[in-house]
Amino acid sequence: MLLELQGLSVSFRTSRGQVEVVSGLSFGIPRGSFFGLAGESGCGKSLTALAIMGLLPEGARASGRVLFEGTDLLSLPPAEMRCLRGKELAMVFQEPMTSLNPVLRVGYQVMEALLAHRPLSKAEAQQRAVELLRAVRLPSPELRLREYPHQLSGGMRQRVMLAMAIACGPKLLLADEPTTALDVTIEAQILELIDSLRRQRQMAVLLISHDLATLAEWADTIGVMYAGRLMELGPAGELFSRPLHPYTRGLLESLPRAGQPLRPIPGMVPPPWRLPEGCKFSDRCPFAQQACRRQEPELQALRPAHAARCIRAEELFL
Amino acid sequence: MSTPLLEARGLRKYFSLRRGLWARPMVLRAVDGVDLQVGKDMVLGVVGESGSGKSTLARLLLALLEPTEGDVLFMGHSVFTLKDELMRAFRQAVQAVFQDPFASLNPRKRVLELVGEPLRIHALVQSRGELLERVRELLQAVGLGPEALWRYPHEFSGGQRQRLCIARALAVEPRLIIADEPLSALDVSIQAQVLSLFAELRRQRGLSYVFISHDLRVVQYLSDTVAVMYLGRVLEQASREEFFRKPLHPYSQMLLASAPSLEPGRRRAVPKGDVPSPLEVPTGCPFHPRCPRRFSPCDQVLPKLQAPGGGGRLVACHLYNPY
Ligand SMILES: Nc1ncnc2c1ncn2[C@@H]1O[C@H](COP(=O)(O)OP(=O)(O)OP(=O)(O)O)[C@@H](O)[C@H]1O
Ligand SMILES: Nc1ncnc2c1ncn2[C@@H]1O[C@H](COP(=O)(O)OP(=O)(O)OP(=O)(O)O)[C@@H](O)[C@H]1O
Ligand SMILES: [Mg+2]
Ligand SMILES: [Mg+2]
Repeated sequence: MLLELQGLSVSFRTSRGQVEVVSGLSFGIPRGSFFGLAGESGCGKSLTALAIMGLLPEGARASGRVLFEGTDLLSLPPAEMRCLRGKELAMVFQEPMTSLNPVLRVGYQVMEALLAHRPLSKAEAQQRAVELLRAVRLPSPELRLREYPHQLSGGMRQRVMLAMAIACGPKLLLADEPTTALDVTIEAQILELIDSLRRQRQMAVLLISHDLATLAEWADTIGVMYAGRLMELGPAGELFSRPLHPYTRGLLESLPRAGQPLRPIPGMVPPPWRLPEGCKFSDRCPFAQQACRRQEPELQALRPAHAARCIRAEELFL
Repeated sequence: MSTPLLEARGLRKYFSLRRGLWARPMVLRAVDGVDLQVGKDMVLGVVGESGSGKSTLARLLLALLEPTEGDVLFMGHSVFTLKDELMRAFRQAVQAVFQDPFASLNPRKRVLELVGEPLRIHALVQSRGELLERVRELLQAVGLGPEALWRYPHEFSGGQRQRLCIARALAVEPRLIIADEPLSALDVSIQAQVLSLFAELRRQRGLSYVFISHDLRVVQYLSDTVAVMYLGRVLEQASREEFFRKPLHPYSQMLLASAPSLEPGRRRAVPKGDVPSPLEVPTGCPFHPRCPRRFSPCDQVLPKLQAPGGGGRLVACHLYNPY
């Protein structure tokens, strides 16, 4: 296992006391694999990625273990974590414009990413930057090096971010909704690019999205989060075609399909301090019973490599 | 045929951009010759990639922007020269819902005021009691309880705020709603809630929509007619059934193929190339540099939007129309 989360929790100190927003998350990502993390807004996807990167915002506290090649990242001294970041683990975000410096040329920023972890001469760095921009299929990279971020389209900026992320050959790439701001056509190009970089470089990918259809296309394994918890974890194709959790089912029925009635999940995600007792989805679940509201179910394996956190899963969906 | 509710005729909007004090201004053709008709009880879906001119078209149709050329007709009258009575009728009959529910609601006003405002402006209620009652009904129509009346926009989630915008648009009993990407700021699950609300309001009230989206799945769910835009032009227009069964224009085919597949294990096709800059629109067919089926006339001759074989569906492509 390249990355293994063991009971990762993230909490904030707020005016309402300590609030847990990621709760006991456990899953593994094998070397070179493609993992998809799904769930509605506010369920804790971004904080999970930030916790892995050691980039949690002020006031957030992580507990549990984040094992990367056997080393617990949460107990690593900040200096060593900084060393690992960019070199072994890298991340791309939703809005590339906020992560690129608007007053620096694209080429300079890519070269900076290259030089962060190894000494190179200026000429070498320049040449490597061109190679990287070519690897992310930016048209005419020699010319683009001299441009500023605002002169590029949204899709091109995301390519530059990817070039910077893979500059030092990370073993794990975390991509947090990298295409939500882009057209479907450009989204397809970027995801295909991420997947081909993964294959060429044996780089594992953790892709975050709220669109299960998109994840099912690219990921080999999908984890579905709700209220900070993993509700279902399984092989992408099987989870998409034969889900084991009512929440996953609800997400799938929220996708408009020709000639089929839309069945949205009623209500919305409650804030972390107003979660129901027992199963956290029970107040929106069409299948909830008394027992569901009494005790929170465990994540339980029901098929090979396919687990769900629902006491009725077996009876309802198997 | 009877006069359509709203009609665009040869609509163009050019922006002039100056890239420096002394530089020659450049012309950006945001909308470049669009003809459309929206009838009663009809949903026209407009799709296209970013920058294709969808929002500019929406603002022209709402008379929020003056066209460079062409006209928008409301029941046969130009909306840019409407006077008093007809202007009021237009402002009442045609309402807008925009992408960002956060920006469209005044944060300092309570829901009662926000949703009630159009009722007062158009003098549709006589007393406070009547106002309260109407706003309650409207909130109920969009699935919000009466307790919402006294709350401020920031106390609602994104999906609920979009419902408030819809309630506000419905207040004056419009006949047509122009919705510009009303779902794209929302989660998939909340999108589904708002989308079924749009569908239900149509069933109940016989509303028409111009529904702008870059998500083909959404357009397929709601629209009767689909128009595909590219660099300011309509490249294809067809009924939903025809369009999704057999898109004619190579650009429509590319868009459909690149939408996320809903069949497990199947990947969408990956299209080549980006939309060119609208400042450097290619000669001939605007799509020809990305088109897998281009042939000799495509980089020279601009194809007209025509009905091949005289049917109802329109396509602007040399493959189908003699040039
Ligand atoms: N700085 C903070 N202080 C307090 N709570 C926070 C903070 N940042 C995030 N949260 C809360 O943590 C929860 C998880 O947030 P997170 O950003 O991980 O969600 P997400 O799944 O990435 O959602 P989205 O799809 O909207 O990006 C949310 O309820 C959010 O309100
Ligand atoms: N006020 C303006 N001044 C100059 N250019 C403009 C103006 N408004 C729009 N444009 C340009 O017109 C073109 C069409 O823009 P428009 O916003 O209509 O596209 P769109 O299809 O709505 O795109 P998106 O999907 O990104 O919302 C773009 O190239 C845009 O930059
Ligand atoms: Mg997030
Ligand atoms: Mg727009």
